[in-house]
Amino acid sequence: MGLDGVLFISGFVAEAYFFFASMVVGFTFLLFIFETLYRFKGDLVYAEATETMAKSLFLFFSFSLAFGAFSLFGLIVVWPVLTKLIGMVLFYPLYVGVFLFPIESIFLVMYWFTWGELKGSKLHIAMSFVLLICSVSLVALMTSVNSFMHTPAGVRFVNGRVEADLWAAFLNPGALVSVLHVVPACFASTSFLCSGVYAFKALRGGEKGRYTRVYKVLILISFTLMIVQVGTGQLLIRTVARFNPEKFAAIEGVWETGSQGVISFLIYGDWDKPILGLKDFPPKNRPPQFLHHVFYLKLILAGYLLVLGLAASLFVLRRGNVPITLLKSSIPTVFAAPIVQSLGWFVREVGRKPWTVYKLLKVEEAMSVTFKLSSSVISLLVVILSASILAFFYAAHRVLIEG
Amino acid sequence: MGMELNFPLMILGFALLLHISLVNLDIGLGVFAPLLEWLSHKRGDKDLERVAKELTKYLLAIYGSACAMGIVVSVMLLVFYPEFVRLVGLVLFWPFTLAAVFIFVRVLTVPVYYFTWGRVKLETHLSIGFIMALTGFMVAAMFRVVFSFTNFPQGLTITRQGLEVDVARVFMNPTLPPLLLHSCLGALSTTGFLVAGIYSYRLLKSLGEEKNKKWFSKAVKIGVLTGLLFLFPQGVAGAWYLISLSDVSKTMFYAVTGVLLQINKVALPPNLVWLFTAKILMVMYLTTAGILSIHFHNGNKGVDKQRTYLSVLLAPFSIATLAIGEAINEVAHLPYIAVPIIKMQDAANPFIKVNLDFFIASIAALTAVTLLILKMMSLSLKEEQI
Repeated sequence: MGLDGVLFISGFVAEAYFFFASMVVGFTFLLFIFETLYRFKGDLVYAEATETMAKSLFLFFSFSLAFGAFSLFGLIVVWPVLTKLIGMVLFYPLYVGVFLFPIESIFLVMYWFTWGELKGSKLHIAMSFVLLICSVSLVALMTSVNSFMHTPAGVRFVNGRVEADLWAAFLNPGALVSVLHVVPACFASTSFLCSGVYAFKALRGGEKGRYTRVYKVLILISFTLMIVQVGTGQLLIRTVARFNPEKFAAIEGVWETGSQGVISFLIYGDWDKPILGLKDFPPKNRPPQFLHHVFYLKLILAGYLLVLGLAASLFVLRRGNVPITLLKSSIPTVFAAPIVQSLGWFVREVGRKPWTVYKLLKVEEAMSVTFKLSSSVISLLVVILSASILAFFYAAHRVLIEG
Repeated sequence: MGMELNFPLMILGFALLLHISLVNLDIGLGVFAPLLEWLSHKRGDKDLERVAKELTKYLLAIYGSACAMGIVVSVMLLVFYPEFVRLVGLVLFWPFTLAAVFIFVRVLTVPVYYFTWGRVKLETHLSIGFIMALTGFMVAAMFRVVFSFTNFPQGLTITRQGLEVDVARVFMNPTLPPLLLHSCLGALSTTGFLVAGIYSYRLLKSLGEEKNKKWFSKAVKIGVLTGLLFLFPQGVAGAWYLISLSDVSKTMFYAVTGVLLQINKVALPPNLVWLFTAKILMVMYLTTAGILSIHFHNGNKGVDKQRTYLSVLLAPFSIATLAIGEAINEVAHLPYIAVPIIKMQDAANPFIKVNLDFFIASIAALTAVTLLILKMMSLSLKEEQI
């Protein structure tokens, strides 16, 4: 099994890790919001929602830890050259991250152990705030590391040796805008996921009013964050067009160089400005063309979330209630929101190919030369990882739906 | 070796000691909890079940920080010694891949075991517990393959074409069996003494309360007996490990014993005989205090405060013994990171200059993490929070 098998398993693990880690960030955000609401409104519904989210956070954190460790060891054994380069030049984000990570995990356990005794207290809300700060900072730092692979800066190869400016590598051109897009995305996808869960609970009967109260808060948060996402997404795509033009051409499906009307206007503010087509790049440097379809599937799903969020928010703000049709329409967000986020990461990562670090390191140069994964090993790993994903769905159903 | 290179090593050493201490407790508690749960049901002993359940709470508190510190150590190695990470990534593919799989299972089974207590059938819960216990040992085994490679790089040939690796010989490293046995027995004995120390402390704090005395005493007895049971074979495995070092890693043997065997053209590590002596003295304390504690806690004769104080100290002494042992093993590699193929300075990141301020900030941060871990463990000792 050659490159394809290794890329498949690496992509599988990375996507799973992005999903779980994003949800961890989102749940720390919701934990803070709902516990604060409970403190100020004294409504036990918000306390129950916080408890469910704390359990969910534990679940997602465990899976994020498992896939994170798997990714880390995968990087070391399958991508040793890439690992060495990143270790050398991205010292600052990685080093700060190593202290935040244990603090986050310790506070998570402390938060859980003190729930019964301290829930709703200033001290307990402060703990959730520490969790939020740690998780947001971590995702921001790791996004900066990831962004280096797309818009590398501060690194030169001179006579086979690496010369590096560590600050320039950390603050690479795509870092800030990527962070601005990724952090709200984590919040929004988790919030949409939970709104779908609470819509389902409200419709299932019994205690509709209680669950709808939580749903209303979630949908307002989700919609607000989607608006932020549209703005930061626009900034991110401009960065892609500027620094990774072949990726931009692939995701927009531009084959011939020329003006692309609306796309030209959205990127450059000029209807007539030409956009480089894929034909202008050597075939060996072109990303896969199916990205175009994946990207637009993502936009369609994001559009559904935006319209749903707008409609539900209007009902909540103007009438104070949510029609059953809207609740029913919200249920698919349980899957749609994480899928939008996963497709976003897929387009980002696959769009970088054939480069592992753009214009610095190709995929085949970054890989291990001493070992090749056989198809049986790949199959075994896929079975183990798939089984864990199924176990996750079962556990998530028990925690989120059945409480 | 310059001062600049010593600072990263000291920071890494601090993090590694913290990680290894937590991991040993994680492994030990992962065995104790399901085993006591099984025994409690077999004997119909509610006290044992209570101890098992509490140990699961400690396990949950420790496992998260042990995993987090594992990632901390890996990332620190990556940023301070990237060339070493590249080399072990190339050479030790199978140990790392298998470790990743076992960690994956282990990380998921610990919270599942905790959260499903009393909510699934006993057989299912015990099965989860024993998978958790087994994977704990397997993770340790895979990392000991890596450690044994750094003692003696068997299975690696450096040719003009590059690196050639004989996987079977990597796994058949002569220092691996004694090191692994010594580590696993050490994890169990340390955890036993830690449990004894913690419950002795709780016994002293609640002297007037009859309701807890019986099961606290039982926990002390279980802890001490387990600690002593595994301490003696651990000593034998330790001697075996030293003999294997004298054969294939003479510089490390010199570091531990101060005895210089025939060594050609290699740099010598520091002489750590004083530290090894301290470790032996601590083991003697553990043995003596342990035996005295068993005698005292055998039956319901009331609480002898002086002897209980002795058994309280089993906890810090066992952790210190473990930490000293690991420190000796790591420092004995110096000035190499993998004896004798790669020196620390050759593996170091050329772009990092760690000055005193940076060093102090890092140590302060690690100390804060350690204090938070202790706080978290003390919170897990409180009753009825869940």
